[in-house]
Amino acid sequence: MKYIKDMFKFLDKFLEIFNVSLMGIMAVSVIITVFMRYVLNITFIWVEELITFVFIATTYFGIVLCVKEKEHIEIDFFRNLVPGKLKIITESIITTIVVFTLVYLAVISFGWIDKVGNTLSSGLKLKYKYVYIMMPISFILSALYEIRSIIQKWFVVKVQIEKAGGRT
Amino acid sequence: MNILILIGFFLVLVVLGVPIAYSIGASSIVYLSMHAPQFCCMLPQRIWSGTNSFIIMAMPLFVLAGELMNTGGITKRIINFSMYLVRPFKGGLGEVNVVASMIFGGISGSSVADTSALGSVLIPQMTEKGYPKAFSAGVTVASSTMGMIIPPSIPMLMYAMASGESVGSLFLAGLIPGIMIGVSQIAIVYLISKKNNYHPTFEKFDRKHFAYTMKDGTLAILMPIIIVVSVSTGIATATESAGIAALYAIIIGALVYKEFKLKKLYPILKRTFLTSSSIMIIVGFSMIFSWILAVEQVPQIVADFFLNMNIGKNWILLILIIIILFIGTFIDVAPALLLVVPILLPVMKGLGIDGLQFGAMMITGCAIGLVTPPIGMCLNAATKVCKLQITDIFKASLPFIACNFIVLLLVTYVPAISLWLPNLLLK
Amino acid sequence: SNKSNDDSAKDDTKKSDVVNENDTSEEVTSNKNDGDEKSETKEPIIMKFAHAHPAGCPRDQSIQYFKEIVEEKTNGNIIVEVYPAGQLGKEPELVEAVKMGTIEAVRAGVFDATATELMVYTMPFLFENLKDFQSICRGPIADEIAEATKEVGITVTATGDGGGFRQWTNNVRPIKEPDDLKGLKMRTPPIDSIVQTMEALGANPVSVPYVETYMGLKTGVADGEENPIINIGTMKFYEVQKYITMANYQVHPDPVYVNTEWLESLPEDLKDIIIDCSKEMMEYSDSLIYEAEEKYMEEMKNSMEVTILSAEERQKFIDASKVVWDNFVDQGLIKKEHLDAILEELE
Ligand code: NA
Ligand code: NA
Repeated sequence: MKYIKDMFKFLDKFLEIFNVSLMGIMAVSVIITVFMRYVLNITFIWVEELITFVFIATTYFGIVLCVKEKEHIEIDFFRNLVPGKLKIITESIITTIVVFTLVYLAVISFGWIDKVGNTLSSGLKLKYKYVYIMMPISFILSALYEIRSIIQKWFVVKVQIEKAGGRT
Repeated sequence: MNILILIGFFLVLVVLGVPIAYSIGASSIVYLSMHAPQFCCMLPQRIWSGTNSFIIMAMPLFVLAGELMNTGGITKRIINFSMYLVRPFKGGLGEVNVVASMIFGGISGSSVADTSALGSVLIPQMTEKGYPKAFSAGVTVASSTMGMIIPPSIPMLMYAMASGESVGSLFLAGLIPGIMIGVSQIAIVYLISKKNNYHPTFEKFDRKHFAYTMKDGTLAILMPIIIVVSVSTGIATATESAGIAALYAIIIGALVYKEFKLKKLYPILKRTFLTSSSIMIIVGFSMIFSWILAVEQVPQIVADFFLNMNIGKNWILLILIIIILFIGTFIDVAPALLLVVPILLPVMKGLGIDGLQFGAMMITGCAIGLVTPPIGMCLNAATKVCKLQITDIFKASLPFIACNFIVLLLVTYVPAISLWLPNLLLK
Repeated sequence: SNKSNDDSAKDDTKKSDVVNENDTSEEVTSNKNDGDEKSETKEPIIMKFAHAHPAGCPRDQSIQYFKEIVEEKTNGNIIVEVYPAGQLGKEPELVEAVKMGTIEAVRAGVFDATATELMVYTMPFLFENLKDFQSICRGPIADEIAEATKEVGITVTATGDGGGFRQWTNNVRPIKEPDDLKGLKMRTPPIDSIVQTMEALGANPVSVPYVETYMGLKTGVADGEENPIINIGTMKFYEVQKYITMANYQVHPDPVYVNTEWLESLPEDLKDIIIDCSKEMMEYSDSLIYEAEEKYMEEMKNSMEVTILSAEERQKFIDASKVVWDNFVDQGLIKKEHLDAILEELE
């Protein structure tokens, strides 16, 4: 149990620093390309591709942390109308749907990558499979984060019930 | 109509509270498994396609620029600057709220960012000066709709992505409608405030304060000008212009306002990537829907349906406006644009409506959806700031939203409002 | 080195004002085309044919023509569904979809994802004129070049012209020899063979998005640009440019990519019809392009000074840009034997 907690703690920190760095790198490289083009008159096709890949990485690794930070865009208006005890059930249903979706997509991603991943990218001459692989990894990590989040919610409910039970 | 099952299932999931991206994913998986299992293998590619867009890369950079401007002390300077702008006609904080939104709209490409940044400062200030809280919140949300209409605009990037229109021209197409909304909202605020005696007495004119407020304000206004000019002249791509904007924000935040500290950069970048990826994943998943709709030839069917209705162009346009408003009420801006534009664009082309004009229509229409319950992202942002019910805020914002609606009608029926500026400068 | 042959095709979408009038949504459900289906079965075989150019453009028109003749010749045993304007994705994605077999055919100017060998056609100054290009791309050498796509599960059933020869326009001076290009800021799409050629000739490639190019030329962000006549016409670049050189410096092939597994699963007679009709489609497509080219040339020859290169002048450009050929061969992108075969054939 402690082992898993430590793993998540490490992942949290790692993903955060990783994404912050990527975002910074992306902003700086965009500014540098403008400078290179207009001041130094140089253009590199592969730079545009590299920046795009960095951006894609922030998206896929960013959504993992969106689970933890509750940043995913969702409509919680109706969800908030659900009364107390039913809430955890609704939440569990939602998590089940999300986890199913993520795992399913991760699995079929491998088929897709297998079939078309050997194409070289036009700028960096990088095999696309090394870029595409970000997607299933992100989906699997997201699924793990979703599961962690629902377990935490169950835990809170359990504590509440125990407290209530203790009082009566 | 199998497709209606898909859409119905999607809506059920959204209402249940499943994140929008995964609502699209789950409903598509179920739909494809049932009706066309051979297409399931396309799902990863469609998602990837949406996240792999060079145009949309401008979005995180605009978010970053906005965050940098906020941290650099720009918000309060814009407010101070706006106070002098409304002074000649004896306006109060209500008018300041609208004017500040117009300026802030030229910095952030997002209305929600507008609501949180200006609302957190202005709603408490207005309440303190005796404005009713609901009125303050109503003005704030209604005026923040301009954030996505006045350039730069993140939703415009999505429209460009979905339609193939030029970002620079789209930015210009939104400028006049945005300003029209602002000016008419100021008029309404003025009339209501005057009738109810909300207008406070003025502080004494301080020449020194005036001078540096003007300098600060000018520096802030320069930013949207840099963005719009560089994009529409082809000097920089939208992405690059957003990069330049971020650089500009750092420079004036650090060197001129001296409020920007390096240690603030980490939380800013964190907020930026969280905002960015939460939007991008929706953009990615939306591509699944538009693909399914295209394979099922829904755009053609819809176009044929509308173009064969014997009711005349103006009535069709009115129906389309209602559809846009309806969709904007129940779905967030990004998925609304990415899903609706590919379907309705052929209808518009068939009616002889320019893609730029349709862009202005979509953006103005979807902006209204931000302040209409039950699902309005600006309302949500405002309740977090002022703790009022969304229905109360919505009621208070109605007179101002009427301005948006009238401008939407004008944009729809008077092409020149959106097309005059891009044609003048780019043709 | 990928992207479409005449700039980002997706960008072109705006130019379409034609709603797809051909009603392809017949009472046919998209069902699986298993190999065991025979031509006499009642259920027609569906051929999903996608492309990223706007509806109504020459590419779209010729695919609609293909639909017509295929459906007629197969007595409706094959139904072609056309998906224009990148409805089903950007060009590289459409190629992926053909590889995976979710769509059956695509016409796209992407070569990284199929076979870089096809880039041999894009080598600068390889073809002097249309006749030369056609004699190669309709001949046996074309089949040999296209053989490489079989490896990724794609068969090229015909090759045509992707949009006409690319020419140079600019605002500074008439370009008669390589030195005239020196230092000019030329707007270039991110296609390797174009960028390398511009660099080899001494120009400074500037990358401006296709849809912003008009303004970029007007404001002097770029001095000039390079594009086929049709693009120069539809994008009205001629309004903001003074000089055009009919350099015929590059041409991009327009291969018809068909999923090999699907094609081979067809009964022999239907397969032959698909191949024959592909060739017919590309001939029609080429004729549409040249027709449009002539129309636009007529329109713009009064607003720009036209330079036509003499044989000696052209030779100087050929010598200066040979380095691009060597680069592509050295990088293993194209095959020297293909180049030699083409040159020999053209002798
Ligand atoms: Na804006
Ligand atoms: Na708002």
